[in-house]
Amino acid sequence: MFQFGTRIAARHDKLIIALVLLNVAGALFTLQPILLALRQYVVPQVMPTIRRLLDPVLAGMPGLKAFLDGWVWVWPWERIITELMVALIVLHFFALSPVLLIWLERKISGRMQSRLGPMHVGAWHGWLQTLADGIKLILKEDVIPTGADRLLHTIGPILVVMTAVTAFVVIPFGNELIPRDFNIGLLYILAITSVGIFGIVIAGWASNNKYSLLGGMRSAAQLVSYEIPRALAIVGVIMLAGTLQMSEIVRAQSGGVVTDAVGGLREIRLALPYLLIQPIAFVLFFIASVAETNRVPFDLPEAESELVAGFHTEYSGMKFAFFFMAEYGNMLLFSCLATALFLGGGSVPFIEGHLQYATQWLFGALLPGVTCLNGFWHFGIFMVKTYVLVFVFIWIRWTYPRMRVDRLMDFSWKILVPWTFANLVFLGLAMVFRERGGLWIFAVVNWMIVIVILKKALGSKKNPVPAAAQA
Amino acid sequence: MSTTVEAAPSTRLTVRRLEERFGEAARYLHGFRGDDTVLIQKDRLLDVLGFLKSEADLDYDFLMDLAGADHLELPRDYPERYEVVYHLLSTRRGHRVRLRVRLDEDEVEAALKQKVGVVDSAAGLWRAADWMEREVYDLFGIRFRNHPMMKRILCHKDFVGHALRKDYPIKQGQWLAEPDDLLDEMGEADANADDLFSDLMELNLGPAHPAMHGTFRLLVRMDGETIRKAVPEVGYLHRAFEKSAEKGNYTQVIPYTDRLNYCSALVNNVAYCRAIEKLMGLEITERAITIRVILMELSRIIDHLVCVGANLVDMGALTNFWYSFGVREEIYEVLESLTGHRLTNNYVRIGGLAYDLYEGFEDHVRACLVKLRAALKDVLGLVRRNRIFIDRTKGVAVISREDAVSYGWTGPCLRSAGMDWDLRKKDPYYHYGEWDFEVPVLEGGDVHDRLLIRFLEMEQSVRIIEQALSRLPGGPVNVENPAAVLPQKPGRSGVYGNIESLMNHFVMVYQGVKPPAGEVYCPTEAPNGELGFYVISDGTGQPYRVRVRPPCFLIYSAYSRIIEGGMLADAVLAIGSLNIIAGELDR
Repeated sequence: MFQFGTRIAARHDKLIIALVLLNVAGALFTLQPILLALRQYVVPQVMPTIRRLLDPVLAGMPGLKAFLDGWVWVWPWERIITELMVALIVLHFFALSPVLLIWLERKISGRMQSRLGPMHVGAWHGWLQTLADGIKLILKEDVIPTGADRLLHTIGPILVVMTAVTAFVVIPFGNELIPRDFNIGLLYILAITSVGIFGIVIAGWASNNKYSLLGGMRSAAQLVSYEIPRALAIVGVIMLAGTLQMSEIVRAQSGGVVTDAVGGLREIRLALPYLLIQPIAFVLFFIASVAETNRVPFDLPEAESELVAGFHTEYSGMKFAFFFMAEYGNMLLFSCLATALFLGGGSVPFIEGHLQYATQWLFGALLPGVTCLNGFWHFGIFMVKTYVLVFVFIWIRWTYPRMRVDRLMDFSWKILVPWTFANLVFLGLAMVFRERGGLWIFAVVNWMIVIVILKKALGSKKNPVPAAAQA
Repeated sequence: MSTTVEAAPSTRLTVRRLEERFGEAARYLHGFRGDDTVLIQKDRLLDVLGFLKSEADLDYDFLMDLAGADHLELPRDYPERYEVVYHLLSTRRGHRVRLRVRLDEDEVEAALKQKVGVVDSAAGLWRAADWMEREVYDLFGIRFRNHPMMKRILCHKDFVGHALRKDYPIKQGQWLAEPDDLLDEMGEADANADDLFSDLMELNLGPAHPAMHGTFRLLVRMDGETIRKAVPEVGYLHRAFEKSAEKGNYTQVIPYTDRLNYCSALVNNVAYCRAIEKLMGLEITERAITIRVILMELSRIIDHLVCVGANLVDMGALTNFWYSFGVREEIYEVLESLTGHRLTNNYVRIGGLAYDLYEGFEDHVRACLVKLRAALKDVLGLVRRNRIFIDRTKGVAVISREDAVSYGWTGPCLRSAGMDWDLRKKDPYYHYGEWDFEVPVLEGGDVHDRLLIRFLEMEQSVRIIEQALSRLPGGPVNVENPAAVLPQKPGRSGVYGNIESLMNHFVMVYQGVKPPAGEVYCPTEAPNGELGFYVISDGTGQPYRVRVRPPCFLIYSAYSRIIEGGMLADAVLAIGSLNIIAGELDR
């Protein structure tokens, strides 16, 4: 059976990939309406029904009835169930997506390096490989080296993984699909991700290993340095959006429809993703994010050829898996963040308003009063954008060599930080002259600079063999 | 000892000047197969070496090799048991000369007991002498006077006896487990008491560390991430190749040579067989020469690919590893089809080759070369103009040309420091003078140029192979010499056809080839530099002494010097760019 499946898979692998993609897309695009329907229709319908059905039963039990009336029916069930659902999504997002991401990374890197990557576990292109690795890691012995600080050695990975999970709380996955829409959401993310640094430093320190110590120290220096350009690049977004609330930031970038008091459509509102207005800020943010996730070319804390594995040299089993999950979780987090802050979240660029108008016109006629289908594509589009960025993360990792520690610092303090400051100053000027088209000029100049830099970086396509070869 | 002839024209001047200047203290001993030997009196050794180095018309800038020899069992007409042999090279004039100093057994023993030197150390003249003298002390027990660190180098610090002495039994093993703390070489930290921040950390890299290719150990003292002082320890892969070589016949040494530089095993085969052929005065056939050239250049390519690929991995650029190792794999397919082995190929024999090429070899190699060019373009495209790569490599672990010469560097590492010295051009063997190729020379002497020059050399090797393939002559691959090559088996005149061939075959297998008594030093341009075999024959079928001059050994002796002051990450890149192969270094 297994072999048969493998043979089928090998013969029709394009077809199967297409089917899988179709399924994934279907799942992504139906998730949002299902959740919203649950929240808006099912829960409000179901709870009163249960209550009505229970009423005759409870008639003989006044004590219980009083208890239910006083304590249970008054609970915001609608909210509780939605919260549970959203919490499940986030947790799944964090617990399962590393599995997918690691497999994806191995397949993509295999493709880039003219090899196959995992092929065996799970019969189809090794898609269960990461799960198998995960099970292996869970079953492994948890080794704590002699002389290590047992408490801190355990706290380190927990801290790292916890901050990576909790940061997802304010990610606006889609229309109303946001676990907690704090009005200081952005600040919250900046704060929480900084706490993760402590985990790495603690892990490096507590391992009682010189390599780990070096890795931890490198990590501290690196992450603290790259926090600054990252935060400063975000300030540009805050200035444009005028808010720290994630949902508002996304809304500011996505178009929509304006309705009048009775729900009639008034007009289509247009907006641009901030990537188009300040591409340089996006690039700066993205570079700083790569550094924050400890990935090549900024993987100095775990540089395996120098520090063996850096801060997690002495970790095994599940604790090691925590670091691993946190790395991929962070990669996903920063991709989500970049999507929300610069790419307009789950909105379709340029035609979001038209799409919403069309949906409301269509479904409003068919199913009057049903609003859960409004922007049902948000979660799907958000995921597509996120995974494009994730691919860029992976692409960078398998292309570049590692930087050296002093160059790393130079790059942050001498290149990124001045550029972010310049970006802020000029953006501020542009906003002062907003009425006279200041933002347009800002965007055009930004793009010109980006093109010049790209041209310089890519260079001419001539023979890479240096002149000495021809001499 | 051997036929004494007039000194070869190239060394005649040296011999004359030496005799004028030092008289009896520097006596011309003999010439054999073009190698001239001058016997130096022990007390005048440093004067002679200094004279040879400083005189403008002699100009011996390289101390190529420094070896000990134990003549306990050698039939000789002088009483001294030990010898220290120096091979000098003048790159500007292309001269080589061998100097030897004879040492009395009692003298050596007495010096060993009192821990004083018996010969003057040449470490003040050439830094190359430092490690080579330590090796002579380690393996022969000959101590050197005024040596900066007279300490064992290949064997363990608690090893009893001296392994290469003829009276040390080859099977006598010793159980030695305690590692050397290396603190005697590290010395005390310079206590800057007033500097609050000079908190130095000592860190052991290796012997099992991803960046220490093979099994090296490096003890570094770091200030933050800057290396203040580094002490390398070698010998973890020491298996006394030179001792093993003395125990079989000449042909039986060939498989051991595969294990020297296992990244390019065939070059070692060729280098060793060339030495024995030089000793025997054999001229191999044209076809054998061309095939050997093809195989050597293929080996050079795979060796360079290992170096480049592994070094880029050290840098974190993993993808290049697959690009370069993919094509290396293709070349291994060729070598596997040809020799039957993958890593330690063994194909070359004294007097020719084990057998002829297989059907379709040429096309197979040509297909490889096409893939190689594509791979080189890919790898260079990824790194050549990559800012991170350039930042990481330019000006890192720099060695000056003078230092490189003093340390006895050869090969790509020397050429990347601005010295145009390639035996294939300067002392051509195997018609290398006739092949159309260039020797790339770069000026930087840093990691960048050491890597780049390997790309350039691979291009040149491709050119040589293409020419050799198009000019591959027919004919036999072995010489017609029953004293050197096993007779053919089938046919009327073969082993199965008549009794004389059968007897010849038996004796050849049993006793091996018997070169005349004498000694030769035969250098070959291996991928890492000059791979020299210094062979002493006593006329029997068993080698009396086989000394290898490994290029890595001397290159690595400069390692701690070029990384001190740099950062830890630079040290990792530096060792990769030197392409140190433990099998060759530790022997």
